[in-house]
Amino acid sequence: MNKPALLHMDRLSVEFRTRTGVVKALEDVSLRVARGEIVGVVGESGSGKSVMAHAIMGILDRAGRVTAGSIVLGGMDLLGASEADLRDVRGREVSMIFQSPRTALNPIRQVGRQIEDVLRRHAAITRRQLPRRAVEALSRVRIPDPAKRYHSYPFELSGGLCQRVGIATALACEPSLLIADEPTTGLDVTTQATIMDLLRELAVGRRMATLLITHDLHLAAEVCDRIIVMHAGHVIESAPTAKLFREPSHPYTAKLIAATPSGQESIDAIAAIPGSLPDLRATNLPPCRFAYRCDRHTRTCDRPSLTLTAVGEGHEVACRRPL
Amino acid sequence: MTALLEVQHLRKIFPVADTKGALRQMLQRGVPSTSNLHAVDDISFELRDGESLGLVGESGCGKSTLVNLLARLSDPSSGGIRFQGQEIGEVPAQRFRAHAARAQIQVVFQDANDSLNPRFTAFDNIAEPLRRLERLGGAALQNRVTEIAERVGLPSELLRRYRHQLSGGQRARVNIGRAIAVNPRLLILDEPTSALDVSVQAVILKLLARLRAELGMSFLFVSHDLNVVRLLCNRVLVMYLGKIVEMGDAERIFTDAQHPYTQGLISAIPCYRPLERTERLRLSGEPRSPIDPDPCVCRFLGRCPRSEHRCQTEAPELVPLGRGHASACHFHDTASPELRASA
Amino acid sequence: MSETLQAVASPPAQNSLRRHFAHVMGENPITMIALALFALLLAVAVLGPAIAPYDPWASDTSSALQPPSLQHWFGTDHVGRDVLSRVIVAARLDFGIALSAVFLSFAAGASLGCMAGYYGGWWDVAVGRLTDTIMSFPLFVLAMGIVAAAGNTVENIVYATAIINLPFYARVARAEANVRRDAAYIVAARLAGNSDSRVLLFHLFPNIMPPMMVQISLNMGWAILNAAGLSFIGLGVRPPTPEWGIMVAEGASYIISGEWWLALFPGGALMLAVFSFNLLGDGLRDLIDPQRRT
Repeated sequence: MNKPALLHMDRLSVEFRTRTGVVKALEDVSLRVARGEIVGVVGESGSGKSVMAHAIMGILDRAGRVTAGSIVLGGMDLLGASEADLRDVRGREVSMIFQSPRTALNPIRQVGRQIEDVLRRHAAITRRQLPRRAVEALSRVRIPDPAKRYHSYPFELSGGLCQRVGIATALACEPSLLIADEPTTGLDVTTQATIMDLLRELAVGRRMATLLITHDLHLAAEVCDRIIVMHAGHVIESAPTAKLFREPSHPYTAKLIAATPSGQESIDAIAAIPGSLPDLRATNLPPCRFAYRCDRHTRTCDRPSLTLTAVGEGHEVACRRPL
Repeated sequence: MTALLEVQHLRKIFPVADTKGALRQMLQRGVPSTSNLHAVDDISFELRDGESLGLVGESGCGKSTLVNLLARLSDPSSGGIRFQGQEIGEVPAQRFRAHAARAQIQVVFQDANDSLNPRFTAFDNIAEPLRRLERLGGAALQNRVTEIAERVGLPSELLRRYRHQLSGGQRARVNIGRAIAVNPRLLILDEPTSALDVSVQAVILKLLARLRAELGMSFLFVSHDLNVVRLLCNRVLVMYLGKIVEMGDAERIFTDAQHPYTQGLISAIPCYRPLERTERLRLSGEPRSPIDPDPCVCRFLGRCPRSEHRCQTEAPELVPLGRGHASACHFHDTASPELRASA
Repeated sequence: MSETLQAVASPPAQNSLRRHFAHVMGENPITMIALALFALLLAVAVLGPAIAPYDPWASDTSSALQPPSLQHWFGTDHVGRDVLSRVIVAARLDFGIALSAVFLSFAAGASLGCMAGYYGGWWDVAVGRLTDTIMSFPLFVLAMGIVAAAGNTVENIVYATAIINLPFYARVARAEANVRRDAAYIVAARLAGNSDSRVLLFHLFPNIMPPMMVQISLNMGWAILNAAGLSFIGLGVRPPTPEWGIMVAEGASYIISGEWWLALFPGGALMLAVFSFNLLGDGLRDLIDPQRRT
């Protein structure tokens, strides 16, 4: 926490206008990521974790609107920046890798060329250097025989290789922040493991800040220094990985850990979380959006202005009755 | 326990056109040569009555093809499938709908959304197999569907809804209700929870375990998530490129895996391990092509951390290791201790 | 995200047809306009002779070629017939030809296309070749040829129009059936003991209806144009039968001499009909698609 943060998101709120009402997709979400740090953002679908990534990248859906808060990356206010400045920042300072590697690549363009496209836009290098730099980018993500793969089309590559190409493209200009939105969903576990190793290496070796967005608590635990747990548009807990697992403070975090199969031998060993997410269009959402599902809920929980409160070294929780 | 399902030397081979240089080939030889994709290649196993058998493997290993064969949705190229002592592999898939075993083998599909007919209500989705296979109608049908909805924990007022009006968990319940409606003996679950959120997954897994206990079904549980398999299965088959590379009791597979692929698979499970910071076993490289595989080469060659000369000249057979455990590797008895430790 | 929202949002699916209709209309006011236009044209077609102010067949050479006036809103033609009455009465014939042609080509095209998409293999090749063959002709010329060869009757116009429309239905149906063939709910229908024909008829076909509706409505406009076009060049319906195409053809020669109303009003009716059908397509799909039912 004391390290100077590269990405500093402060009390961000995002709303989506829909036909049936305004969805409060994010509310008062704060986040810091330092250089060389991997921060995991964990939550179930509808928790707002992808919305957060899109807000940082400035690629929110047109129905979405930032209603409050700020996002500062390396001293630059991303929300106040012009579209031209943002385009400069995207790709050079902050890059994103997406969930479906195959659809994120242009199917009719050689992968090497796609990396060159990014380089040409952002890096100050000559035309003649482009191919060499593209091959370098491919070899950096441990693609075997990068000079040959340069000429491959996405359909010729396996899912794992496609994701590596996606990462290579994202890293081509050596961004200071990488946002990985469910980068291994749909990939095999063995491939997932190697991709995660790669992310870890890049964070350590290049001091790159990484935001790993995932629904898999254990996947985040494997590579992340710090984990942020989201529920229904709120950050409900933020803690160093070991601490989060050893002493989860928010009832939802504890339930999530208990509900995730992780080597238990019997079905009785995992716990179910009853209920479902509240309707985020409701005007009378309780201060704690987990209140409906929480068995520790009392009247104190309904008091307004619930904020993240420190309960330990680098450990914050948004709960009036933490565990 | 007696065998509910016996699979003997089952094969499914798909001819694929060799597109590379097809024109040149045609000019030279007159016809383009065809190759064969060995999706399921000589698989034999047994599923005992009341057992829950896990089937794990990566995408493209032939799991789905095997499921289609066992559910009798497609015809095997060769080999036999015996169900309750009766050969059902020879009945063409086209005509299997009229077979007595049709109701006995049902499938829960991966994508609960995709497996519900968008133009049917939840009621109709569950009622369809009852109407067709048990010729139920009227009040009898109404009662059965309500009973099934109750069994899978679906509030009966939701039966009138269409699939897009149901949440992910509710769809999963309808999907399961549809599959168990006709009281199958064998329920094939094809990645039933992989598209669900963790909180919903836990609920659905518990539901499946309860249903199996209540109805005495046998499960063939297909998944890539070994943690989930471990929760629900007594025994596990590990498939790699159309072959079974290891099988055995679930606990033995998880604690004492013999095949390097299984070891790599288990080692790759993401898991919070606070104490060990040991090096994990990583499988690098790309799988070999399933098209016309060389019968004299181990299929795992190229990704295996301990391949030797012998692996390139002789494909390993599935060798029994005692107590129902078997593995297809030349080196299982000499597997290095550090590999075992990491697994 | 959206899934959760939807699930939370959806009220019970009780008999909500009227609400659904109102919702679709409210969301897309253009559909409302198209529907109003369509209803108007349909009413005209049904009521036809009953609302026509004059006898569409009665000629009165003394009042020939009169411009639009209070007595004759659309003016009179070269033999003194009231153009408004003729435009009104012609609607029934033009709609009748288009509707029956579209129904025929929909029935044949959808079933052929469905089977091609579902079974694949031999069926697919045969249907594919058939549609390719039809499509390789200039379609209007093909229709002309069919009518000229089979005889100059209204039925033959219907058949000809149906044949040239067939490939469009077959292709849409084939594509839609093909992507749904391996959908889990189709496989589930097979597991439930349905035969292939039942799967096709009761599980696959209803699901390809929404995209087919768009095709139907687009085709309606085209079929009307086609029927009118055949009459325009002298095939099919013969004068003095009131029909938009003939009226435009007859009126065309008078435009140069300044009697524009003879061709303009039947042409305008034709345009409105085609326009309303084209707009109606999307609305119809929304109406028939259960996913849109909130």
